[in-house]
Amino acid sequence: MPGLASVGSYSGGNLRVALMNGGLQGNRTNSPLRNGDSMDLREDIVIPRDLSNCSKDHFSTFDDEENIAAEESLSDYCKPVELYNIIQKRLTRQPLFLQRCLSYKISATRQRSMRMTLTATGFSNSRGLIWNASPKATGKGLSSGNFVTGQQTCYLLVMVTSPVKALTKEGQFAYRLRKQKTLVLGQCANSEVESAPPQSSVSFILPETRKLLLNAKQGDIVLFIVTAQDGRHIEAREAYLSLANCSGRITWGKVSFTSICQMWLKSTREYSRMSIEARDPSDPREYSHVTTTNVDMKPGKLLHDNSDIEPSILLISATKSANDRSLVRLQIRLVGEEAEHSNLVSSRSMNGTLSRVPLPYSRSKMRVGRIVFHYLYANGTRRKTEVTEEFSCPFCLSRCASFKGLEFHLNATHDLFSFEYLLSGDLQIVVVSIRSDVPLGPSGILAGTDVDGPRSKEFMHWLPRSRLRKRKAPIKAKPKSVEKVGRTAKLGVEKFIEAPSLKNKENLEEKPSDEVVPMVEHGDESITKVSESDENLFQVGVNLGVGMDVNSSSTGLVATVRDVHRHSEIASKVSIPHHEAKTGKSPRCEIVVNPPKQRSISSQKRQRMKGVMGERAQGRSRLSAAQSGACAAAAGAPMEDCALQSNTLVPYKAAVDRPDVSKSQALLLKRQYFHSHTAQPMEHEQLFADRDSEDEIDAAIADLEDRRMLDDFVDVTSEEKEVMHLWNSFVRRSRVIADVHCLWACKEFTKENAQRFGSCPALRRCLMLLLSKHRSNKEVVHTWQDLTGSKPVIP
Amino acid sequence: MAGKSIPFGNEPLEGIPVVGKKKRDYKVCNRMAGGKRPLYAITFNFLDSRFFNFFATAGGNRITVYECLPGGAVGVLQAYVDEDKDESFYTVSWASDNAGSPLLVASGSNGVIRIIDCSTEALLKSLVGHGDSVNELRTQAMKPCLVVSASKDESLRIWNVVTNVCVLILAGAGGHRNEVLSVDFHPSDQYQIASCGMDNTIKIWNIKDFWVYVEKSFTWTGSTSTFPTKYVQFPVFNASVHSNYVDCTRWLGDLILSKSVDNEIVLWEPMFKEHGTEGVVDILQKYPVPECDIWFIKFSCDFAFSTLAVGNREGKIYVWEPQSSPPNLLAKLCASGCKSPIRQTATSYDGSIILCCCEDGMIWRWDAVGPVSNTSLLNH
Repeated sequence: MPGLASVGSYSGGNLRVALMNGGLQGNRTNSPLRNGDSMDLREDIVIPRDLSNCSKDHFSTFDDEENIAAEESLSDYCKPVELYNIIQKRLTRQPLFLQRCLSYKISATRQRSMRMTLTATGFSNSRGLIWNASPKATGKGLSSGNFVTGQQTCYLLVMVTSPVKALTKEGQFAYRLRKQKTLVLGQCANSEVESAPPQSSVSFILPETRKLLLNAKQGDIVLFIVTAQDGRHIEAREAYLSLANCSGRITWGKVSFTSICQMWLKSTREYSRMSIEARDPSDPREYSHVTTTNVDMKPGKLLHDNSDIEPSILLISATKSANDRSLVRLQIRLVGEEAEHSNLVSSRSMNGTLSRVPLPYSRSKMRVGRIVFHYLYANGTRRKTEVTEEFSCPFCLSRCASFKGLEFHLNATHDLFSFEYLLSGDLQIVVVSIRSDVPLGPSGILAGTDVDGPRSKEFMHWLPRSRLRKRKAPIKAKPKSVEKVGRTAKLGVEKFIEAPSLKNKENLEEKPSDEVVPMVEHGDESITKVSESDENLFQVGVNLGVGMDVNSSSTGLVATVRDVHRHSEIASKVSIPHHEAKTGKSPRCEIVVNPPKQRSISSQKRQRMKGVMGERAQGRSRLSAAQSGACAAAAGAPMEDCALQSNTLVPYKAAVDRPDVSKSQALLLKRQYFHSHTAQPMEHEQLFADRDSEDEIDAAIADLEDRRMLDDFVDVTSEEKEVMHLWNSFVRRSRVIADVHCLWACKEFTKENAQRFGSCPALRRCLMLLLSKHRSNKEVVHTWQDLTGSKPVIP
Repeated sequence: MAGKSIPFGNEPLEGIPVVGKKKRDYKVCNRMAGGKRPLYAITFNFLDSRFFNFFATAGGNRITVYECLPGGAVGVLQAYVDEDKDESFYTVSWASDNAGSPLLVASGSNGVIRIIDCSTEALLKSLVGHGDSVNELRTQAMKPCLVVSASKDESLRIWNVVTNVCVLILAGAGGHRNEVLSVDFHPSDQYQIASCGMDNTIKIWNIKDFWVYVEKSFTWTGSTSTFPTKYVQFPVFNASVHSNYVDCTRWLGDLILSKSVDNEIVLWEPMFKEHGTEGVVDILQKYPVPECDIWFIKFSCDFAFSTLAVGNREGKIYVWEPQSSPPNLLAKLCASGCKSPIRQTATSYDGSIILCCCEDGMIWRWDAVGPVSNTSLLNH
């Protein structure tokens, strides 16, 4: 945890900021958040002098008293930082349930890449140096050595690969065959390969250093070099072509990245520790790591193995590996530089491969993501400075991927401070100051009016409707069908009322938890009231609101009412879902409500309820007055019940009995209803049946029509017509409507009609034609083989 | 219209409305008042040989069953009166239940089809479904429980009068565009139905694809409202033979006799195309009927289609021999008291008796003098 600089660490011409762990306590060692790897690059960072000039000048003029006062004001930072530490600790113990998918977090996890350039600088065998890259040595080396002679050039094949552990045995190494690059030793005399001539240096794109180190430690990644056995040369053309083409005796070597990475990290660390003056602008370490290492090349035998998913190469060490003569030492120079993400992307998108042009690293460019934080104190007259890299947040170390992301993060997560974001040239500066309007309690806890924070706010969570429906399906089935049969939607409720047993309140108190408990006591009154006049319809809604206010102590109530309300919205039948809600078992209380807010909710509800009621009233105008009374009862009464009975939540299972229900049912039976299609009188059974008699889709007729239409085609054979017809009817039946369904449909269609197609070759040909229109040929063949076990004959 | 480009030699043969050499003499045997309201329908029973002499009339809210007694007498057997005084029956047809007892199917302005069992003299069932008045009912001779109704609501319905279900509805996208006035079952092909109406067209329907539903209707035991009634939306043939209302159509074998308000009956042949419904018609013969220019005048034929009787606006009856070529007018019947339009005629099984019902509610009976020389009937 980066803390704040203490005054003591302020020294000399540079503002030196010691990053401390554990905030101002200076407790550096036992910080729980300290992560060795991630802290490596972040320990001591020095910022350029010019940044601190102004503050420094100020600083020198203060006298001691002022210093002490300023010191005290600096301690204002303690509590917020402490608080953030606590939060951070808690987070590691109890990770967030809800993972935030903020874009800066996502892009921060994206790998940064490193570009590694490999150059061969020397070549020696047991007899000494035979070739050197330096111009002086070149002539000698070329002439004297027998490895690289005269005009002949030696080609090295280099690849970054990973070992195949399954195939590695004693004396045998196995590596995956990756795309290799060709390195040239000596002059490239006859570069016949135009497209990508072999080069004296090759470069690879690797993960960033720390990640690479991790991979290397696990043995996942190696640098692999191979060349021909001495005396025999891999021809330029052949060598270029592929490692896959050459086999037999070769000389090879490998380099583990572990040591390289460690060296790179070390050099970076050393460089960053250097004072700003000591840095040399021309020093390549400003933006890259350089290492020189030796590779021991051993003779071996190269074999290929294609048994695995990826082709791999096998290397069998020569038995006489001790032979000094065959040992060759290759000196290589590795330069790793950070490849900027955007550059990488753009060059990739241009031609598919990485451009070989060195990335445009201008000297003036800052290291990626270096942010300067100024902490103001003593009423903004003084400041401490801290620098982080990779757009890291100084409080919680989270990497934010961009300056904008950092801005979002700080504003969102660390709102105890106020931030000012400045972009001056290459410098990205964040000025941090304490917020005066946020009083902190004694224990670092926020004190004040806004105690509950988000808890006092109301969050709505909408479940997708389908889930709701699924749950209600068994209960809803019946009333739904009733609704469909006639214009008698409102009577859905009544369907369930068979026994006209009107229970009263005494009854309820006698057996409150029995399975059959009526819920209509108060409801009954409201029904009678409601059925009197239209205005009362609205009154129910209003009454409900009032009732809720009275009972506002229970949050469960609100959920219940809300449930009911929703049901009444979705379907106009309230009765059964309402029971469910009333049992108290219903876990669908998505609404989080606090007592003070409840009033507003209920008023909201009231508004909506009015709307619903209004609709009802409209719909009612078609029905007779008595029926309307029943509807109102159906809609209004249960809600009333909710309001009034919430204190004694009693589980209900059975249906409700309401006298008006049977009355309106009788009315329904009294009337003669006619089917809308055939104008035939409907019988009562059909009226109450759960089949939708008005379904306009008639599969049989549609098939007939389809067949007739197809028959009108003149230029289509009867087999084609048959297949068309089968397909059309299949598509209609299984409701294939989108392109994505096609795959499934093809398969299922073939399966369904396998018998028919199997018996008639002409039909089969038509089917193949059809399938090939919907799927690629390969898939068709596969499907066909799956189904029939034979190869299809494509016409 | 047809006639525009009739190739040479294909002109329709037009008969001369003058009684020629080959003639038949009819004399008025009886006249009786069937009621004060106009009679619109009269029909013999051809379904059951026991009842060939029975006929029924429909008019007003009354349906009456008579028997033609030998010697020119007519006996009233049964009379049924609808409760609704405003009902006006337009059509009546004989049908039969599975046991063979005669049924009467009648309908009219209310659009309710009444099924009367004549053997028990009871109203069996009232079929509802039509949205407007029913203009004609016809019975499928081979399946005498199947009845087709043509209605003002532009639809035709096929009913099973035994199970009381509405089997098919012939209407929709390709259906009639105005009142359907007349309909007839093909005499030998049980799938074909010809219909005509106020949209000036004659449509031929084929219910072969829907025959499964017809079969289903024979054994339907469930509620009539749950029967899967299907819509037949497209006729197989669509003919424009006439340029005005077509108010009567009958099959003559595979040919069609149809009548419009232009003083003639036309015999034509539907030339089915392989594709499409807009058919070509070949008009074969024309049977002129003078003074027959009001609609809802229907003709009738005997069982063998050797006698065709049609009334006209002035109370005359023209008796044609439809199957002779050129058309031969067998007789021209006129009586002194018969001056009001004859809406419908009925020809007995052998053509020896011709009945007509008039606008003024009179029923006239004409008997052939001497034996009817009917070659085609003999061949049967």
